[in-house]
Amino acid sequence: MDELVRDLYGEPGPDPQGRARVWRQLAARRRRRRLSWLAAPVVAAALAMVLVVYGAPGQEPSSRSILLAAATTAESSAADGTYWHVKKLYDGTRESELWATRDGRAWTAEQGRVTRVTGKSPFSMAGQDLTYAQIQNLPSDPAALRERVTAMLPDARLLADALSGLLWTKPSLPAVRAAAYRALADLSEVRYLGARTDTRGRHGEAFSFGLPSGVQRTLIIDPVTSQVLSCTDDRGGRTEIVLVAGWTDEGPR
Amino acid sequence: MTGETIAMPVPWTARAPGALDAEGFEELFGRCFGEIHTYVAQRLGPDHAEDIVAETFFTAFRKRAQYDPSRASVRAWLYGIATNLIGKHRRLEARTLRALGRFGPEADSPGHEDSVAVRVSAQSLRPELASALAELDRRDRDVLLLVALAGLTHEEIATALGIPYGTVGSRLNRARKKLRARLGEVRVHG
Repeated sequence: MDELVRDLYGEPGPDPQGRARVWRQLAARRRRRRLSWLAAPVVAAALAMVLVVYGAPGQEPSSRSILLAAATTAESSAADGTYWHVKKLYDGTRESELWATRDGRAWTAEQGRVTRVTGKSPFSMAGQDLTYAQIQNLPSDPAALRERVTAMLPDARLLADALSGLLWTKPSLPAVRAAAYRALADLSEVRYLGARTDTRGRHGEAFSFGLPSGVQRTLIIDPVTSQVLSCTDDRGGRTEIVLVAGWTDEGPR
Repeated sequence: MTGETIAMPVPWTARAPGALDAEGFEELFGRCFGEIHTYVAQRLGPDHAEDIVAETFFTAFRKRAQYDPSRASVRAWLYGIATNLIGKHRRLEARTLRALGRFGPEADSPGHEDSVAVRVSAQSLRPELASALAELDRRDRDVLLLVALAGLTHEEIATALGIPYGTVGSRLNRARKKLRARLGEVRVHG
């Protein structure tokens, strides 16, 4: 009997885009729910973002619109808390953490052992130290940000990488993260690869750009939260999974 | 990420098994989307499945604190939520069943090793079976389909639907009996 029933119903396979569509619907609803207690302008921004990303029904979002949507969310994200905290997983096995305070103190943790960072800034761009104050003083206008970052680089071909670093490895102000997303949206070398899942099965949108070495670097971002989920290099390069990136009151432990 | 090195080998410790935090929820979605979508599309048709599936996962996300890994597999729990949501779309389900009776499933279901005889008889029984299913009490149909389509055990169904273990068996028997009676003289195994 069960076999007859199964035969009657058949096995309707999902349409290949179905999974991504459902996830987006879900992510947008989760986001709206989290924001429900916030001020109206923030909610309005989130709604505007949903409209920008998802556009007219049946129309695939473009690379630019996804990055611009992420910028809108980034702008309204919270930046309060004592510690900037990043927790990454390298190559699926090695976990490392960083905490930094606004007054320049920083700690790293490896193997559960916390070490105070002394004598140098925990942040860098293209191999040069970058202080917390320098990061805070970055302009929040996309064109000005692009100009400032370009001036700091030994090689202009590092621009996309340096801008994307402001999204998650540095305690950039919300307005600066938004500007970085907008500046990336205007770079022709940033290619949109479509909806992807990272190695932990989290859904996002993938973008890639080349490094001067010829390596292709791919970032997966969640445009609904503006978080970077992972960063992967091709040619067997390393994979970094972002487990946490943001401000918190919980210090190194 | 440019030139930053804060990494040293650290053993990766997994989260508490069964815990359903926001991260675990994403994994759950990745793992279970396919089968939940299939189940909903079977019962309500592919056109409406995505909305109901989104609703299922959204409900699961909202109620994740209530999920108790010691009581039910997370998969059974999702099937329970989906089944309750499907229950709110009785007319759509009836319409889907009528269409299945007339035309068969839309997807070109791969020909598994079913015997030709079963396929042929299934083909001729299709309209009768579909209308018999539509006439079942919804609660009986839920149990029958959670066994036949989702492959859940009686215990999983009891937890997923929040009904006593014995009730699962009695509903299942009643449903099968009615279908057999309806299909009449044709000999059916199962």
